[in-house]
Amino acid sequence: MNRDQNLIRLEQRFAILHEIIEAYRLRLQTMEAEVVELFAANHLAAISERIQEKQRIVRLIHKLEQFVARWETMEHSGIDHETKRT
Amino acid sequence: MKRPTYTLSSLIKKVFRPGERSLPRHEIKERLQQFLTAYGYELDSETALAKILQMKQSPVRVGHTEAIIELTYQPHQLFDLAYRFLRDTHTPKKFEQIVPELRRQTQFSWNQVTRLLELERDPRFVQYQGDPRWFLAEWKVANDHVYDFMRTNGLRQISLRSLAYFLEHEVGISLREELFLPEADDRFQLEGESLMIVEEAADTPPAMDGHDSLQQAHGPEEHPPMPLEGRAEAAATVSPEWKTKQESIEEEIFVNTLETKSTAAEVSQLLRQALGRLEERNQQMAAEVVSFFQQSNLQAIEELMQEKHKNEQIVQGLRQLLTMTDEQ
Repeated sequence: MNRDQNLIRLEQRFAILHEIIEAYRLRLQTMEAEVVELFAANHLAAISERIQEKQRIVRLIHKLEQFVARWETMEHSGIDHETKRT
Repeated sequence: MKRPTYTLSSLIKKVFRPGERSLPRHEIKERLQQFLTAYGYELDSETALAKILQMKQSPVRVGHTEAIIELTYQPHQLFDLAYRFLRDTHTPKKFEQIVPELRRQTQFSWNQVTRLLELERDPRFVQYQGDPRWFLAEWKVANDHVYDFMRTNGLRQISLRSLAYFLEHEVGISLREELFLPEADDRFQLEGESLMIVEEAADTPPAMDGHDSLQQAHGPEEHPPMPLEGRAEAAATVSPEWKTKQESIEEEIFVNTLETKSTAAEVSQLLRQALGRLEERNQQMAAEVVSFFQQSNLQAIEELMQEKHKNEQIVQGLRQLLTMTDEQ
């Protein structure tokens, strides 16, 4: 989401949401690597924090995906920048 | 130079240590390279691995990512029965000899047994090159011991029966526990009941401990084998001598030195094995942590951490012991 370019890019809203979901997934993957390191360094507390963070992200991803699934198919019935409805 | 040599698909089985089901590709390549060099293969591990992966009944396959290689073996009671059959009889068997036994013990048809029993996949079974028989991977090969024993004592020829006796009483190896495969080894020549050794041009480096499978078939550089006539001649010229030599064996001398040396070496080897095992477990734990993390199971991670802590202490202790053993 590049704020300098365009504040609202409605026609790309689902693509952007997909990007966001993907970014969260990547974050989960890097967290796994982090946890392995933390485990090697005996940081149980930090691992516990990562687990909470992970649960939060997983919930978020889930909600975003539900949202996308619910609205993406109905794209044309919603607000669209390009096709001006009368 | 012919030594008992595992086939490629058996070699890859030895690469996996007991309990390991999958390994990172680089780890496999590293270990495989050691085995390949030790067994005199002129292949690099990359090519060998590619070859093995392409085999029809390959014991390994690429895991969920290219970086992981895993065993394809799926447990089935037939494998266990075949394993028990070989273990109990303590004799290598051909596939055709195993099938009837399994049919006797189970309800499976001949077709089912031959289809299900893919010994190529089970890491407990191995084959040597040029030998259709199946061996258990846990069996040790006594060839190096026999060769060393005969050379140390200047024996060129010995009957198989007295060899078994000497090995058991002087070296402490029972041929009932270890296998002796003279046919697959060009250091030996069998004529009826009597066994002859063929001298090599240079000394083989003394194996630190022949129990290590890596070293068993380990020979030095390539030595051109003696021409056949030369062998027979050598055997003929020395055969009158060996009898007197055999009688004059100074038992105490070689028994004692050999035993203390090999015990210390064995202990140090066992310690190293234990260290290796703990190291392995350490790597396993890293994988487990990720899976517990995915399940948000903090308690399991905590237990794992305790185990790790304990293992680290053991490693430290073992290292100290090892330095002590090595210094002696």
